[in-house]
Amino acid sequence: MIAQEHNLASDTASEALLYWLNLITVGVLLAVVATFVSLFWLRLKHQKVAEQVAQRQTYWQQVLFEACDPKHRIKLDSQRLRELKANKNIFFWFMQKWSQMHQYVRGDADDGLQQLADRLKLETRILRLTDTQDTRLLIACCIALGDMQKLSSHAVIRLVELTDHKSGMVVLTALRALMRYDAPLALPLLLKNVQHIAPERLVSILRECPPKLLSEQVSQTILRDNPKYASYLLKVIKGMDLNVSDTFVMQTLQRFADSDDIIAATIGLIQSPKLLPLVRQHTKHPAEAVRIQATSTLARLAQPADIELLWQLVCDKSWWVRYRAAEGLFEQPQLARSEIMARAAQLTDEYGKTMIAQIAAETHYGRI
Amino acid sequence: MDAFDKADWIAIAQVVFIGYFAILTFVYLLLNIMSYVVIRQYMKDYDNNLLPESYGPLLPPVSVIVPAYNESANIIASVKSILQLDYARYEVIVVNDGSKDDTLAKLKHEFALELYTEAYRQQVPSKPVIAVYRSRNYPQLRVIDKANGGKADALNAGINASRYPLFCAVDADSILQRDSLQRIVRPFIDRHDTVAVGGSIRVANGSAIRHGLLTRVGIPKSWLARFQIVEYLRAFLFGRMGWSPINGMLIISGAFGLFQKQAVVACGGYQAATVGEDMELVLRLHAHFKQRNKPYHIAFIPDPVCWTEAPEDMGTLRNQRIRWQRGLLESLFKNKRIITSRQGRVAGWVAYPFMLLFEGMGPLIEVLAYSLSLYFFMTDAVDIYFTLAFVVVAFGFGILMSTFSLILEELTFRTYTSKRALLVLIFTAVLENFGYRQINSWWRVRGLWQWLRGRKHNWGAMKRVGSINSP
Repeated sequence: MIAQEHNLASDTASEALLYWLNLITVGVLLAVVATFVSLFWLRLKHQKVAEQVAQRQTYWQQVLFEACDPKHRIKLDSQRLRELKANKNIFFWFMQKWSQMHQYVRGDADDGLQQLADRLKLETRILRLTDTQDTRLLIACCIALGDMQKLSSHAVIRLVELTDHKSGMVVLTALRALMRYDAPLALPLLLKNVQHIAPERLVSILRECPPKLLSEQVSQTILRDNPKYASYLLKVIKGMDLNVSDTFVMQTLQRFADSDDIIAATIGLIQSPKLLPLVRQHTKHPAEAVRIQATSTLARLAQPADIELLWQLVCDKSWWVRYRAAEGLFEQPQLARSEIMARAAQLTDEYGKTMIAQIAAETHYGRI
Repeated sequence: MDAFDKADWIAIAQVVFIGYFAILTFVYLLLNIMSYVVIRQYMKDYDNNLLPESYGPLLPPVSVIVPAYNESANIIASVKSILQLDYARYEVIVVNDGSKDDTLAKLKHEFALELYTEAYRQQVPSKPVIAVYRSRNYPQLRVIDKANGGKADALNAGINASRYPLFCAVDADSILQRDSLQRIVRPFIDRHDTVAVGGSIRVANGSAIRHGLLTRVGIPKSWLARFQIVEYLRAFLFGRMGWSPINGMLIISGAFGLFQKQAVVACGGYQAATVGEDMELVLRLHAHFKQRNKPYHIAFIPDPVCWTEAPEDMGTLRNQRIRWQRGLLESLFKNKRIITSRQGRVAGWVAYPFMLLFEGMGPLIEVLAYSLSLYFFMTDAVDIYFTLAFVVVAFGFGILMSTFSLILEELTFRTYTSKRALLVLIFTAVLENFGYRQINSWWRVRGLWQWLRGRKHNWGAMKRVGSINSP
């Protein structure tokens, strides 16, 4: 009896399950058909949209090309203008294209693009867009502002504000934009944040700054600020191949006499043979970093009398000093390769001998 | 009494399978919805998200690491494609992991390699390096020749030799798009706490490749490759896209992924003793940051940034799937601590159990469900309507998931432009559910079994058709 009841209950449950399963089956099949239909509908819709987008982009690209000729008065299509005003994405696209055009054009064409920007009130709209948290949008806005020939005070203030943004890329693009527009204003802001910016990135921004202004400001900052910061700036100066005065070198060496790192970086900057005695003196410095830089500088500025010192440095206890010295010997115009090899054979220091052999092999690198 | 027991047993099986199926459906639907929302958002400014060329130097420099073991068939095309990337500053490090074929010889000849002395910093463990070569023609290319130690070990050697703060792990059989690096680096710009980014991988079979670059996307003739196209779309467009915004992504494909070197080194690099080193690393990154309660983000970009050659023969595909399944389980169990971590959140408390239940154990349950349905049907334990309805729902749902990934593709990149290609893909999405999916589940059950037996792993040599090595 119990078994019968149990079977009955089980049958009822199975029927209910089957009912639901049937419902689900129909649902799934309908969904499958719906997705098939949607796929084709989407394909048709996208083809239509793609055509519209292509037309719009062609139109604005044409406008940008025409704008490069400032004498040419462009007649703008009112519907396209409305679109540009109303649709943020279209404006974003246009703004980036406008910016990109600046990579390929110079002179008059730049003026033409600026005229177009004025006509479209680009700056005002860009400034409105900067009230966003979207990092990429902010970067694009900063880039576009950097391409403007003139900026309002609002734009400058906003760019200065953006130099405190949490995204490094926003800070860099804002600084670069400011640097293009007003280097004396931007440089102190950049130097304030300098320790947080990787040297290669820093150099790409600093290239926008007039070298004289840069050299002066950086030199002043170095003599004013703490050693860690100064060492980094000295490396940047080297990376940018900026000229520094002999006075600056002397003052820096005096001011940071207790920092090997700064001494090394400063010695590496020396370009004047007048300071050769100082360089020679530092080749005997106890710190390896200083000796390496001094050896490199000596190799670069060496007079015939310094060849002997370079030979001594080839036998230094530091691998890098030996490397730089050997490299330096091969760079000396008055020394023939065979001459170096013959002298190396007479060296009693095995490390020095090996180093000369290594550089000899390396200087043959790439030759068949 | 016997009849009573059998009925009970059937009822339990029905409840278990239907319950399992219902939860799976629910999670998949949720993932689909999330992917749909995120992809719509992502595509809104898709045309606007690359920086002008002049701003290239501001982008973080990247070391591209290409581990290679017996990759003679594809290595040249692959390296050539990487050397043509549109990116301001990057280096390419090919790591020859003791190949037995002529991989190194081909590289030496094609790229005019010369021995090069350089300081090698051992930050993560790897087998000894035999030699470092530098290309005479491409200054950014270096080749590390090392003793064989597996893919993870080769990647570690690449990390040790890399100079830049981000590294991109790329399979030697991959073809990248010109803008791949520019696109994959974007999450690092958007969020400063990003530690890793995965890219979408597509099947290169049937497409035209010239000088290492993909010039035309096409549909392959092989049905196996076609099935894999739909599979890859499904796996990447909703499988990963759905988990990404909630920081629950547990896999970044070894074929193409970008990592913050510092974070990976802090975790100890890739684990040499694993099959699925890619997933294992991502899980370890989750565990590492959660343990230290540090903010981090692991992102995914849906852009088709990397194309790979899919196996076109059953043997290779079987080995690949078995290896993947073992890798998945191995990685999950090696990092089980994230499920019990107080900071587990989405990755530990949602994504991990999902992976374990539906990806790790799923194939076993699926194979059991098929076998039991057949058994119940043969023994008249359930009626034909029930069996049919169950089969239709299971297959229909599979088709639905596949076609939904086609919809996501249609909403985003529309890589397969012709109507014929679309029709073929729809047909493939239907057909893959009848046989291919079941065989796959069976292979994955074998993978599970091999994992349980603790079988030793190797590089997982793949029979190449060389479809990506055209001139």
